[in-house]
Amino acid sequence: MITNAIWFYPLIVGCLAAVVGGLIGPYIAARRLTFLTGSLSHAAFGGIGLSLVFGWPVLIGALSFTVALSWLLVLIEHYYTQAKDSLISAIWAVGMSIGVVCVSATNQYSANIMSYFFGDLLFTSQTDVWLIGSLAVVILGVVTLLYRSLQLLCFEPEYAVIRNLPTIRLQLVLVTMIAITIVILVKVVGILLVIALLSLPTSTALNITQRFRTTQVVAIIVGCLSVMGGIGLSLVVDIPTGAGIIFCTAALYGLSLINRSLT
Amino acid sequence: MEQTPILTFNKVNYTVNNKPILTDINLSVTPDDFIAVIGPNGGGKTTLLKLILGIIKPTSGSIQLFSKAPKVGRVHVGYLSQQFLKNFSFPIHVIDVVMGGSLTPKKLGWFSQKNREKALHHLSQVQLEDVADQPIQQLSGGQQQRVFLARSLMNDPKLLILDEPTCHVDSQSGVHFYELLQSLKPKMAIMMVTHDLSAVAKAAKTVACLNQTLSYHHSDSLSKDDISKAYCCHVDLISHGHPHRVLSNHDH
Repeated sequence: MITNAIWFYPLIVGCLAAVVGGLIGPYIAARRLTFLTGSLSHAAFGGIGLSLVFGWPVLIGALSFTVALSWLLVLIEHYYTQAKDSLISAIWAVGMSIGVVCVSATNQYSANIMSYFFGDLLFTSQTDVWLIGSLAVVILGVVTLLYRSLQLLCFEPEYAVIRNLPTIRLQLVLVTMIAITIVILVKVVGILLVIALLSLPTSTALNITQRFRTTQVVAIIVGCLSVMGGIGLSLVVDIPTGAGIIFCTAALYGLSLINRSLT
Repeated sequence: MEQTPILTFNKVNYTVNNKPILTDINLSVTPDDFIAVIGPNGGGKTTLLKLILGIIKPTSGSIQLFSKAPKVGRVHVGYLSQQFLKNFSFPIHVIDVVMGGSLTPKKLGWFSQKNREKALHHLSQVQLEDVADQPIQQLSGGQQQRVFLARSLMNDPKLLILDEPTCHVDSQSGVHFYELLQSLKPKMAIMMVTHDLSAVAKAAKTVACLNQTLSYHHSDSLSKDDISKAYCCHVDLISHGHPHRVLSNHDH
């Protein structure tokens, strides 16, 4: 049966991750939040470490920790605007440090820990599929409902303020979705490669289209093709799946650059 | 009959780190005004607009916009901000930019067909209905400003505020833009911050000069003293003749 194939659940979760990455990646590019995304993805290791120490499900622990940090970033940035870059750096380093301390306390320096850094897509369970599927549905729903407001927030935040839109709450919603996406992508490609899977499909799409909705659709397609290619590579030539996915994403980005220079 | 002001500044001061940016500003705008605010860079023109729009609060004094606090009254304001505040790397089409002007706190999601028709109507008002489905980045600076003018009309404003609307726009497009403003003048009050003094002479009904303090006499001309004081130097002839003047006639 197809559901018993080694690649079946990884493919489902990988494509779900590509969908959320494709939906959220263009917002990260538009709001120039790549540094913040890098910070949150590394800080997620703190949530993973705490989960290992306290025996929580890792996905839930990492999710709660990363969402809490993303809210902290928005609120501090709102009240102390000048401290933004330092704050993002601090959260990056402190989050990682918490993770290191927790992992050290649990004596779990092993291949298990390495899977959080480089992803463990091939060890996806049915539970992962349901959990990540539910999160993807939430993100799809929120992005659809708030599409126009998020569009204005990205294009001209000051105008959104003048139209009396709840800009702080919209930013909280946006960073929450970024945090959820990061945690899903950690499962797929690992902490160190999250940023590539969030930025390269979007950059590829931006080389092809100039409409936001189409950018999201193209980024999703690029992400899904990369996941399929990466899983295929890892099964055929025996390389880590996360790295295989990134190679495919980078190759598609390269093709889009060539296409852009020819048109 | 004296008209009820739609915007009043009463002894407004604004300071940053104890440094005065605006001092003792008194201003009254009526529904049929077309005020041009001129003044040197760093004179506080954009700060004045931010106070009107409730983006910042005055250090002392009071501001009333449509008899309410600026944050509440600004729902009746159409606003055209400076170009650099927009993120032109964001992939968005002209029609989507214009429809953004109809978003409200209670309407955060999708637009109706009615919104689209209204956006197309305002785009035709600024003679840009043909580019509705083009990316905003592909338009010239003058066309982009007309798109933002169309967006600022989406909430049927009673006061239109423009911040340097013809900055980075060629002179022909600037003339076209001011002609559009003339057509809007009967429907709303207009307040425009600008460096383009020739446009002030052509378009505005009254002119105010701002350099920390505001010189405004509800008239179509400023004295040479007002201008020289604001710019902290002698200013030569800017524009003379009818229908409007920036400077009053020379004595000789």
